[in-house]
Amino acid sequence: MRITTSMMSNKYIKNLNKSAYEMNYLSEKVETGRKFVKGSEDPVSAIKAYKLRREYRTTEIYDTNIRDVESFLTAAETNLTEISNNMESVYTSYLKGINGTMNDEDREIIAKQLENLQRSILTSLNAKFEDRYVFGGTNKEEIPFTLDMNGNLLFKGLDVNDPANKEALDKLANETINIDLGLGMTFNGDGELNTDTVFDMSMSGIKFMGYGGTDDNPENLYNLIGKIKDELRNPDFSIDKISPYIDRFEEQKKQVLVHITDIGAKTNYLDFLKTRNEDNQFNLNKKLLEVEFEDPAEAIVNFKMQEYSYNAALSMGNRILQNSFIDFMK
Amino acid sequence: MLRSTFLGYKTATSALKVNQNHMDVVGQNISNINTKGYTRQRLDISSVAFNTSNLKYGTPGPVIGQGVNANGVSQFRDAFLDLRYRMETSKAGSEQVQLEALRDLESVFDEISMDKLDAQFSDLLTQLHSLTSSPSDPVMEGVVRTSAEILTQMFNDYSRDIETIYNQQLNYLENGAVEKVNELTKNIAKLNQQIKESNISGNPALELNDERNMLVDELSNYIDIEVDIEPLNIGGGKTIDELVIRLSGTTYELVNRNNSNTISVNEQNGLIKIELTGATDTDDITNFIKGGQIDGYLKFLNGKGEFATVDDIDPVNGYEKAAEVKGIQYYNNMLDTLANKFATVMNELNRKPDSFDIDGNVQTWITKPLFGARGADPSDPDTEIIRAGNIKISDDWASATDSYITNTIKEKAGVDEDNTGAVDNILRMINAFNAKNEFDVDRDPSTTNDILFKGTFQEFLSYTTTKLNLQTADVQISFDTYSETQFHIDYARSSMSSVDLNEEGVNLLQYSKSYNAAARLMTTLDEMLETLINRMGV
Repeated sequence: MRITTSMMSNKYIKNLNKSAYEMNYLSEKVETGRKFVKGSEDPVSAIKAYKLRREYRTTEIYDTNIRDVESFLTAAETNLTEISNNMESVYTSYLKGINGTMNDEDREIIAKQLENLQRSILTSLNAKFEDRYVFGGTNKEEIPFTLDMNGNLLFKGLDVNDPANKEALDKLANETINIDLGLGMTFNGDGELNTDTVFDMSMSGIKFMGYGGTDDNPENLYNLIGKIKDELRNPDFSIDKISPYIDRFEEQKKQVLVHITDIGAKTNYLDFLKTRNEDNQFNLNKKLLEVEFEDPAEAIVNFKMQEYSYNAALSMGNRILQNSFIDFMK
Repeated sequence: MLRSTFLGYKTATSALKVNQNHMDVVGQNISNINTKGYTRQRLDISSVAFNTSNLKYGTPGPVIGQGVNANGVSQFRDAFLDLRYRMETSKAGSEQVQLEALRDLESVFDEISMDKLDAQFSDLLTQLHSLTSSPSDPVMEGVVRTSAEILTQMFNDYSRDIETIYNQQLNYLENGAVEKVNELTKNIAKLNQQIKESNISGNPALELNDERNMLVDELSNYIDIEVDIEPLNIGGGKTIDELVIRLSGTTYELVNRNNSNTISVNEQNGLIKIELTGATDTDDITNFIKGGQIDGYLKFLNGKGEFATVDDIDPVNGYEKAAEVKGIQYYNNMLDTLANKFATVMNELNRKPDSFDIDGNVQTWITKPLFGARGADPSDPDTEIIRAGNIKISDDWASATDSYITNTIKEKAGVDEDNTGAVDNILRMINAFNAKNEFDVDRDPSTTNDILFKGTFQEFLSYTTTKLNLQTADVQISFDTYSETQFHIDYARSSMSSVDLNEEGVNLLQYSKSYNAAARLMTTLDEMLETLINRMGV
């Protein structure tokens, strides 16, 4: 093939340009630390990166959710322990009260004590965490536990002793506040949530406080304390009259402890979820680094190699384009 | 046979003259070594024979030639290489335009080094999750609304950017490529005229030919052409060549000898068409263009992929390749599909139960759209289809001062129950981000044979972006291949046509030596005559 001066210089310029482009590209890699700056450079890695980023963002969401639920449960535990302690005080108080050596005045003092404890329990029942009532189920705006004129407990405006309210109260007791903590939340074919794929953080107060019965025979702890108190004040005080209430109270009181244990179990489960989520996050981050980011040492070595060949090309140019026959003509 | 006394002088003169011509051609070559498009020239010479045809008798003794004759100057050029070069240039031109346009488009969708639409979807999801810890809270809902609003604005931005790219490319086509083609064909026609006139008067007009070749090369970058040489008899047994340029594989003439036709852009039913206006009529040549930058623009501007309708691919009124090529309209439609699906799904989820039947199932619903279309008639908002360009927060949501997001669709336990803390419907919305939706070409879920993709909103966006990335990478490879081939053909062409200094240097030496030799011949002949006339017999 006939090779001419312009062919040599054109090809040289083309190759030099290619080399410079490559050097620029590699230097960009060193500067940004990225394996690719545009999706079209590596479409397969790009699609991986998008997916990993989405997964990573989701783990961040779950992390926040787990922490939120954890704080909520801590608040619930504190208040429930408080309630439980008050119940113990109620217990020790009325044990004193039913002691045969007590006279009416002594019993009045104890009744007063029970009244105070009732108030304290009511305060705990209406405790708020952030803007949600801890034991109020889905209540946010209205105080869940209130009293009617007779000093009987109302839950969300419903008399807890009224059998007519039984159905509604059943519903409220089993109310759920489900949170997506990364358990793979799904809905079934009817558009209903599969409850085992979410975390239920609700702590309906009515569930452990009890409901149902009648006005004379309440099932609710608060109302039972009221009844015990009334009986202590009753001039015809007798053990026989008060003992059904005490039996019922002691039976229902266990529910409070059950719920405290329940919270403990839930907290443990949350700890497990948190660790799992953090591991997940760590792994995703590692993968993301592998997919998106260049090993700095490798990037610099590649750049140096390219720089070397670029310099070599430059010095070659000087030689290729230097002489022709004309230079040697006499 | 008798030799005439001054016979040798003629030979020496012709040698001097031809060598002088040689040197002049070398000079021309050296001076144009850097001239773009210049083709190296050579002097065509032949030796002069002694003409014996008019002699009465045969010629005894030797018949010696009578020197050298310069017939003319010609070029080193290979028409086949020109043909191949122009074919590759057309292909590279088409890919180059698409590559640049796709890169622009890629920068709209690409989220590799910047958080954009995909990240905003995740942000909205994050805010919805936060809402589960304080549902029905107007402040928290405000955060959700802001995130959703940014999402809609991002859709709007994407759509606007795509429109800008569309207009930009259309402008490049109209005022760049098409204008350039018209200018080139006009100049080629003019050159045809000049070359013809020169040829008639016997001038090969090599430099004009170079210029014309360069213009034809350039023209082939814009549109795929076929160059034909048509001989013209100018009498006296002489013919000269005239040039006709046609659109490849067709009879549509861009240049016919001294006349050029003009092409123009015509917009028709949302498709870009190219028309050729000749002396008598105008033809639609859109579907006959197979290469060159104009082909690249047509592909990019008209390519609709799966979204092409029957009318779009009509071979007469449409663009035949509309369905097989994915251009800007395809990606724009993909984005519209996503915006529409997202708005539809979320609007559907935010409806609120109005009444329940005996079993506690919802009987009637109140619609509470979260998203709407800008420019829709407020009395009948459904008439305007939600697209990426017009999606916005619904007016009701934007002006809501109280809680607007439906947090629960469960029946209340009591009439006055406060269930503002329930989250079941928010979970449904969160789930919508993980649900596999079917994305349809025509946004009509009743027809099932036109599903584009099945997946989440974000997966659909990634799918679109990846499609674009892959296409860009693909076009990049094609372009590299074609331009590499183009370079190699040009290299081969240079090998034939370009000036080489070594060669010209050698020629220079050789011709100057020959010139000296011819001069020496003259001197020697002179000395011989001197001997014959002045010294003989003295």
